[in-house]
Amino acid sequence: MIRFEASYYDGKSSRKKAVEVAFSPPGRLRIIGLDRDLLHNLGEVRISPQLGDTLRSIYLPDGAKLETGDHRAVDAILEASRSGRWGRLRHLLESRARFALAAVVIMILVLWGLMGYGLPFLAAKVAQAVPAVLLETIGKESLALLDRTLLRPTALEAGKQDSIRLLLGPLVAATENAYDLRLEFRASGRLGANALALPSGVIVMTDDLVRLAEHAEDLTAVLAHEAGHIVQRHSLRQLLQSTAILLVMASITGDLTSLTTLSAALPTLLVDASYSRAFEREADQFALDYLATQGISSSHFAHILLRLKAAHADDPEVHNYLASHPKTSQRIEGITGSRPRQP
Amino acid sequence: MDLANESVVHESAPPDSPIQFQFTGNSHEYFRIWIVNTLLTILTLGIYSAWAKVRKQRYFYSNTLLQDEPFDYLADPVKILKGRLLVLVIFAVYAFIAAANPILGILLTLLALAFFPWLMVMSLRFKLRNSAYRNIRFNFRGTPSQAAGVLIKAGLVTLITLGIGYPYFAYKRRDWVVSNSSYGTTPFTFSATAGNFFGIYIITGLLLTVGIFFAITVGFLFAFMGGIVATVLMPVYVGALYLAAFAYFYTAITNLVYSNCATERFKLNSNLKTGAMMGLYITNAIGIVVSLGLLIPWAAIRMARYRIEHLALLSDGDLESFIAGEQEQVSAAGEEIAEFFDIDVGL
Repeated sequence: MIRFEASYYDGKSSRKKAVEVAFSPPGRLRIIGLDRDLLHNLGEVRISPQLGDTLRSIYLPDGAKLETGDHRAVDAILEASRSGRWGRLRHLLESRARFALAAVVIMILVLWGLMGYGLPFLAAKVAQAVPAVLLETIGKESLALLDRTLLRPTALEAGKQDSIRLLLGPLVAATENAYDLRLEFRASGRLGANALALPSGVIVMTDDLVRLAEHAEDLTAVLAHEAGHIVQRHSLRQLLQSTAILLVMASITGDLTSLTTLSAALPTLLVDASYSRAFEREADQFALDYLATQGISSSHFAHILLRLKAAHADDPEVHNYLASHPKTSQRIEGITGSRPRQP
Repeated sequence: MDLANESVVHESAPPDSPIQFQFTGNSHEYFRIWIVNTLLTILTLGIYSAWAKVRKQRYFYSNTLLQDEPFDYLADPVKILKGRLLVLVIFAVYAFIAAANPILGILLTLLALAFFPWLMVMSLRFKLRNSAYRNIRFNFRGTPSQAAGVLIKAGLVTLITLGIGYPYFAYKRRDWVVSNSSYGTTPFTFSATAGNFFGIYIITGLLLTVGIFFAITVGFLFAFMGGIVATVLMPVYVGALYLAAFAYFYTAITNLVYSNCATERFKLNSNLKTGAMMGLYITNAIGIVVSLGLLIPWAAIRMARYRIEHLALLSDGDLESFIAGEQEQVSAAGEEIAEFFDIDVGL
């Protein structure tokens, strides 16, 4: 026989009545202290699982409810009725410091695996499955938007444009004509010497970049890098990964309100930037492989990167962890296998 | 900074002593619950999130006491899961259609807008009917057509006045929510006025305007000195200004709305302070960043404790004779969809 004190609410009014509950095995609850004693079978009541140190509720079939702080009695009843095992296991997990510590460790490992490998892997699979028609539309819209905002018509003469377009031929052939690579020239004060890859296969090169290049091979290296972005569908993968990261963050920070949520935005930015740098390294590798097949020395790639860095010397330095590109010195190290001499 | 406090208590309420709400949750206990539930959510690819949500909500409800009696959160996780799955399916179908045919996508978005009043009502119903105190549930009786009426009328006022009338919209929405809520069969009334809301919006606007004007003037003076003033002090100043305005606004609105909620038997009184809220925001944000998120439960508990312990009930002390209303079941879909879009429908 288990006995405990409880508060009884009939569910019809907010009046509280102090009662005593007696449990006699195999499964009957007797509530003593009301006008007349109430009897309930254990099978028809619902007992709330333990949560922290909060009061336990026993919901009776007629809408009434018992409330008690006597966890030991309630657990003994659950034990006797061989129910509530999952509830007790969960409370055990939730109440021990060592499980909390284990959860922290597992969480770090899972998040690390998810962000470092799981999401990029899934995003790559999904991105490859997206139909080309959709990429074409996205590319067209982005170029139109860029033309309205950052870009102006090119000032390069047609002959120069055509000679650079010729560089694209072997590149398209190298990708087995699977990608419809096209080259557009634009002027842009804001972007300076720069090149962009749009998901539709359009590569935009600025006039400043063309002027910056000393050899045709320099431009081939840049084109190959941008082609790497297109072939590996980097912009789409970045979009997918950013969205997924947001969902993961939302599930972790779900019970935060308003302004404090801002502090959750920072890790999202860091992870996004690290994805972006990984894509840049992939594109660099793509370019190196291509240059090797064409018998072009990788020093051309290093050369144009250094000149680009010098041309953007006035831009504010972004800290390593927030930067969208790896440091130029690191990229060149990856290209030539040694640290560059400062120009 | 006690600006938030002036718009609070009116004299009409029952002339009784206040009963303070108490909060008994603590961050050690909640951390363990939070970490296990968050981990299970991630390991089950989100399926467990419904149970985690109920668990976390219950922790805060059950640790909120009035006259030593806890509140109770009664939502059924299976219903929440169904709601979330429904949202996911609707979204997948929508995304597919919008990708295949953008024009159809726009039409669907408009159609979704037409459902918004219904969403608001379902969300409020789910929230209130699953909240109970002394085994009496709260209830919400507003209808989608009322919601549409409020949105359209107050929305038009805002549009016609080019946004200046927005505080009226904010007032109307709260008025509708509170006036259609009840504890058992006891309805709530809302006694704030549109003027109260205009006052808070105007002060917030002034705070920002004066602050920015000051920043521009001082900025000009220091622009010649360059360096540290421009790159460090200005962002800090602008951040602090925004934070102060936000803390004032949030505090004042919360105090106004709660302190004007009453029934014939009791009324609420909230007296949050802007300075304290600002302090909480700053320390919480720093704690979360420095601990790489591990202090999220600590931040949530501190915020809940401050808010709840500055809420009181003014009544004759008898909370024993409230009567329950009849109950219908509500699906969780409304609340889940509303949550997904991050729509602030409640108080």
